[in-house]
Amino acid sequence: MDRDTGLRRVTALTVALVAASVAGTIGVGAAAYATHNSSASATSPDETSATTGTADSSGSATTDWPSLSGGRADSGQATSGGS
Amino acid sequence: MLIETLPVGDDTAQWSVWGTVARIVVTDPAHLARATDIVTAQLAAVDAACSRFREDSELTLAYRRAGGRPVTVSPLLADLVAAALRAARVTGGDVDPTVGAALNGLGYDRDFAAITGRVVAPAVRVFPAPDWRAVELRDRELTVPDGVLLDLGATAKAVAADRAAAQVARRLGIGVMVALGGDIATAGPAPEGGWRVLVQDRPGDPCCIVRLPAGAALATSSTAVRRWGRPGELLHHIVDPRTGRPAPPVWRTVSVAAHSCLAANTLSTAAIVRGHAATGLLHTVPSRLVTPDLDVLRLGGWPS
Repeated sequence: MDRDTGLRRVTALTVALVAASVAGTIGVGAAAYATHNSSASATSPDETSATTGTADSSGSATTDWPSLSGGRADSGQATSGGS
Repeated sequence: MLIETLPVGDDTAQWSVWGTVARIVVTDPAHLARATDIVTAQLAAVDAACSRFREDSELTLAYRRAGGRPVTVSPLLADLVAAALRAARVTGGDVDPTVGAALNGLGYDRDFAAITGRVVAPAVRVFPAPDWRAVELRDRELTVPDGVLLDLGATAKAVAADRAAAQVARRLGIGVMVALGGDIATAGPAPEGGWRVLVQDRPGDPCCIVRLPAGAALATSSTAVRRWGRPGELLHHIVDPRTGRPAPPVWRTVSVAAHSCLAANTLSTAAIVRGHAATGLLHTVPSRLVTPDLDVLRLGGWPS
């Protein structure tokens, strides 16, 4: 094998290794992105409402939220605080 | 524990339970005694099913009997475990029922009243491994991996409020609000103008009154209560499953309104665990977040 042939083989091997490395990096990135998106979609508050919502207490799941209004500061019937 | 300062009228009953205050308000005072009996029985049933502090609870006995193998549990315990696993799934593991061993390692291994004022041993960090995904529930067949301890505390209290309110409304045909510390559920018709709830963590903290429509619920999670430990190492009860430690107190208090107390509690607890990222989780949800400096952030239409 002459010197030129040896150089071509080394170059081809280097290119192949770089290509494999880039492909691997992209693959890992894609997997991480998919995992991140999966996690994010699993934490949608709408899903929380639908899956832990009124189905437990009244039998009908819903994805909206109750409408609150304010009141006089001295008119509470119960307290919601840390417990 | 919650410090309830509101008056007790003829439509209201109040007593201590689970290291906090239980309070019910009914639309018809003539039914208050029966409503109280229904709620008391419901709370006793939930406690007997899933308390991790009772040697005779169904959950404790199931561990002993099963040794990591499948065991058939009561419909109530199955419902409570199912609720906890759903909360874990929809929060991506922020609210994880397998933190029981982590809480024990931190010193919260008995009813909170027995910890208050006691200097506990240095905290031991225990990671929930495997996590909630290793717990299997198929109908009433429950499999908990050997060594995993379930803590259903947060979700079970919320489910108890939902169930108790629904039972009172269904059996007595009246409107009712059931408050278990921070967890509030309503069922049946509401009084004119809605149920009025004082939202306040500790005395002196910022407060507000919100009116809940019929069937709505409200939950408050806090890093300022249920604290224990010793000087230089004060802990609280909301554990980040990823670290095995109490979540950093980015928020002092988070309150969330939803159509069930379980949904509200799941989100308020997850918000504490997520810290700064909680605003992304709650931006469309009626919620109120209080910082350690007592600044208030209102999201999702929470009234000012």
